[in-house]
Amino acid sequence: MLVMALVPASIIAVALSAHYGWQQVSDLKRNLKDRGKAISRQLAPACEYGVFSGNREQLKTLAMAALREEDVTEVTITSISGEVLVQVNANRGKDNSGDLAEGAYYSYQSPILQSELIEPDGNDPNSVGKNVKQPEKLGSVTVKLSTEETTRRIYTVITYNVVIILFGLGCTFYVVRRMARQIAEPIKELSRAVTEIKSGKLDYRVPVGSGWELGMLEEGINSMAETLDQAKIREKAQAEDAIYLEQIRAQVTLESIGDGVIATDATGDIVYINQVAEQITGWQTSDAVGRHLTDVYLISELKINQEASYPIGLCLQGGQIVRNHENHILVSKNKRKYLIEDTASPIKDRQGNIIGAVLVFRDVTEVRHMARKMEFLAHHDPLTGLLNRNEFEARLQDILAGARNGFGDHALCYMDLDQFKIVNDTSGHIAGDELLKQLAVLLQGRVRGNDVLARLGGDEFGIIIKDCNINEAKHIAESFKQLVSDFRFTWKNRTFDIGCSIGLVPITAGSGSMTDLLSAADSACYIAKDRGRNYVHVYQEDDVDLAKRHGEMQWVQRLKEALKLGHFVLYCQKIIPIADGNKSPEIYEILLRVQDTGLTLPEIFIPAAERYYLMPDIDRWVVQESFRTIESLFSDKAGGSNGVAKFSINLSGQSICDDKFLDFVLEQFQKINIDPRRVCFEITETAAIENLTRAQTFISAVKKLGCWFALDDFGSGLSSFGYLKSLSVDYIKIDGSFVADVMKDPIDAAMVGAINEIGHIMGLATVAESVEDIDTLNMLKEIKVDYAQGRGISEVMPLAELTLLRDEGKVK
Amino acid sequence: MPFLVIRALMILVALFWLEKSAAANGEERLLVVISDNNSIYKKFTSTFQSVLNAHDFGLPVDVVTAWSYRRTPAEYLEKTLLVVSVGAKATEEVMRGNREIPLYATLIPRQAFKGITAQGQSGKPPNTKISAVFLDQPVSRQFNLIKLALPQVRRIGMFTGSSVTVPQNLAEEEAGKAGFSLVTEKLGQNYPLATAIDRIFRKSDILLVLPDPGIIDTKTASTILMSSYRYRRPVAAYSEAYVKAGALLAVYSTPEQIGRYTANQVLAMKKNHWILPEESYSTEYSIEVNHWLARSLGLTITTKHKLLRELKKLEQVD
Repeated sequence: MLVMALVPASIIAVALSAHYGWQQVSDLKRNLKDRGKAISRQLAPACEYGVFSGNREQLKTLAMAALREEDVTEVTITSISGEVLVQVNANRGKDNSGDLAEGAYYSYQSPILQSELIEPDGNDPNSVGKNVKQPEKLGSVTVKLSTEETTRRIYTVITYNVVIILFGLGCTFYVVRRMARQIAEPIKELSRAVTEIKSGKLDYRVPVGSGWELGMLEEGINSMAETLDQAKIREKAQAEDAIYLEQIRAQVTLESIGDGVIATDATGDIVYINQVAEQITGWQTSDAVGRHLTDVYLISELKINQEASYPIGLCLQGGQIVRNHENHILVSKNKRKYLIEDTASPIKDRQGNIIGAVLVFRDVTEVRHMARKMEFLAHHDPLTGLLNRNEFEARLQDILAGARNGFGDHALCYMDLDQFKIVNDTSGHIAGDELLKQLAVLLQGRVRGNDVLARLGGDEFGIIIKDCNINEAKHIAESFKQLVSDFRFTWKNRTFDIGCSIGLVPITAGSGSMTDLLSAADSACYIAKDRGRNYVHVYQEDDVDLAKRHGEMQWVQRLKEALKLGHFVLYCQKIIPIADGNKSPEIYEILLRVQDTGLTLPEIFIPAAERYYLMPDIDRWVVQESFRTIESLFSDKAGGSNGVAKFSINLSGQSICDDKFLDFVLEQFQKINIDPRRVCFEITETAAIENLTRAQTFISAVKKLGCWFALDDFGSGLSSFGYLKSLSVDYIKIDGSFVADVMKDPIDAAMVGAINEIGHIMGLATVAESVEDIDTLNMLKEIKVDYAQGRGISEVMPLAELTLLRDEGKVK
Repeated sequence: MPFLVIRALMILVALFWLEKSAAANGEERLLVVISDNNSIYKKFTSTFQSVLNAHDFGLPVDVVTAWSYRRTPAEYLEKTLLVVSVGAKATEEVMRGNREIPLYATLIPRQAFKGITAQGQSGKPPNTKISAVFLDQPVSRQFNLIKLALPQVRRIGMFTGSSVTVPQNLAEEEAGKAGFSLVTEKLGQNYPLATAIDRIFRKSDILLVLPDPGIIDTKTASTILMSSYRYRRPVAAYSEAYVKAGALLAVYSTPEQIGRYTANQVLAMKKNHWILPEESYSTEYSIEVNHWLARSLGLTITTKHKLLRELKKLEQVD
């Protein structure tokens, strides 16, 4: 482009040069002519004297001098007559010129004029010399100038011009080219750089070297490329980090998930296998990768045991996610079989082409096993393997429905083991469980094929005796009872005799609901128990006992609600020291009532509570509430045996036997700020004896804290006095049934006296309950019973009222 | 003893004299001392020797340059019968130590010869054995030539300088004899050339230029010639070159002519026991006329040969 730009400049330069060249040539020619004229004109006057005087030497000298002038090739001096006086030629340097070709020279002729005469004095006519006044031509001078030199100069000028033009153009071209290079090359480089950078070669750099703006542009491009490059590197690094993180995440995810994962390419060759898949298939990654999936993932249909269609094959063919195949069995490399579930998903590229697939599979062997187990457990008792209560009830429902429709008579048998609690208490739950298992086997062997045997809970079993009337059923039930009675359970060298009480209910078209049936059977069973255990009781509609049991059954719900809704209230009755000299403070026995529809005495609900094992919860509530009340009454925590009141709290045998109850009591002492020495626990003689070990443990533990202990209803259970040695109690409360009639019945009086005597002998304080009148009190005083309690002494009152007494100073 | 000594001494003296005498008698010669070795002197010696040889001169003629002579003059002068000094410089050189041997100076301007001999007169005893042949022409010859060539001329101009070739009185006398009136102008340091030229051309019909080394040089000559043209007054000169340069006419002796004249004089001396002749001008001379100029000036002059014949005829009459 720049070279193209030179063309007009070149034309102008050539034109100018030609113009000036032509001018120079003209100048040269004019100069030559001028010089020729000048030389001839100058020479002519000089020759005047020589021509006049004929001084050829002088003329020759002059002519030679003229000849020495540039370009003068010939000088001829002639006289007026035309005689050549001198002719000198440059070629010969002598007279007589050499011939010059016409046109090769310019010829100039000037006349030699005679100059003015100086008039001498005495201008007489005889004087020598001619007086010439007018200028007279003496001759002429002819000068020939060779155009050769001029021509040569013209040529030289032209040559110089041409050379100068060429040189100038050359220099200009060189400079322009160099400039063009300096400009064009960097621009080319810049263009190249932009193209390269555009194509993504961000590491491309422009050579920096140009000056000024180009240099700045180059540096700018480089700087831009550098920034882009760094940004790309950063982006790449971030992308790589992201990819790496994604890979790691995917890797860790794949390795972490519990499913086996195998990835294949489009042909089904394995490209990845995770750890779980390795474990299940038995193939290591190094062996598996590259193999075809069917070499590693050997599956067959579960049921028909034939080769299965590969989900991944379907997936690669169809491009759809293929799930399921519950029935697949995978055979591992080491021939182990797994029940599996698998899912195959295609991997597609951006165009939607399938480039591989991912197979996810799960070992469901254990799950299936567990499901079956769960299913089994849903219907069976895990300990004995017998049907559980739910299944039993379901079956019962079916059978009841059948009976209602007249499909035969059946009987429901409700069996509760006797003395099972003793086995549990003395030999532990393991022994109890073992007993149950053995009995279950025993009973399973005895029941008929169609009959339904189930464990209904704890030591209770249910049997549906099908297709038989009540008599036959009773007979069968008796055989069960006998079977159990005959069973001897041995555990660690101890042998236990087990019995059972059985309630029997006929299932007929007239039977009520299933619940009614169960309730009836349960009631009948308890009737049987009440009748001395190891007994079969057939349910009777009009059974009074059974009605009573129905009442107890109702109490269960009321008690639970009472616990939940706070219907229990605490009362107390003072126990006063009656013996002479007994300065001991009074004791307040804390009594429990249910306050819902009315105020209910414990005698009404305690049996039900004990039967339905609610006593531990009730006792917990009593203990906690009593402690809080004592704390509110006596925040000073001062107590002790001397001078301050004690509070007696009744505990049931069930609570004593409760493993966690003792901990609960100890925890309450921690939580509630009372003096343990204000607290006395009472348990019935029967409960103590039945749970002797537990009772001992409990008594020992609480007494360490400083609590007191009383044995309630002593004498009612006709227990041996020997037990008293085993029980570290402080008080014996003589059963009220003896005290109430002590004035009327001498035996009772004797019993009270005997108990009091023995108690004293053992160093225990005695308490007479149910003292209704002053006579009784006096008698008791006589026989030196230590304390007395009853309406004759003090009425039962709400525990809260002790606050008033305390404020009055009547309670310390 | 003394006798013997005296006798021995006498013998020695006698032997020395005999030797010298014998040598002198046996090898007498003519010594030609030339001022320079240029063409003028070569032409002179060539003509001089050829004339001597043609007349059987009989003595050896040794030609030596003045500067060679100057190194051992005694050796050159020994047994020399006559020294011919050619030119002023050679004359002066030979005169410097020579008292005895006759010296014949030739090709020497009269004025120069007079100068050299005047020096001798003032500083040292005059060498009586000296004579000369002058280079220049007698002024009478000049006047006669003018008279012959240009009978219409009445006034002859002439410069007189410090060293006048011809005493003014002599010149005036000779001019009178020829029937001319002589117009003179002083020329020299105190007399500007231009003024002198102007005056002399305005007063005279022709200017006679005589060789005067004090006033006439090439530049003065050129000026004089150019002025003569401007005044259209002819110039009579003393050399051929002057005529070629623009003088109308000249009478002069060439080296060959003087050589020939001198040789003839030497031959005459040999016959006359080497007695030197009187100082003289060469009787052989030439005339040159610039007819071109004459024509330019509108003059008609006869040919130089005719003039020469008439002039010689006139001198013989005189």
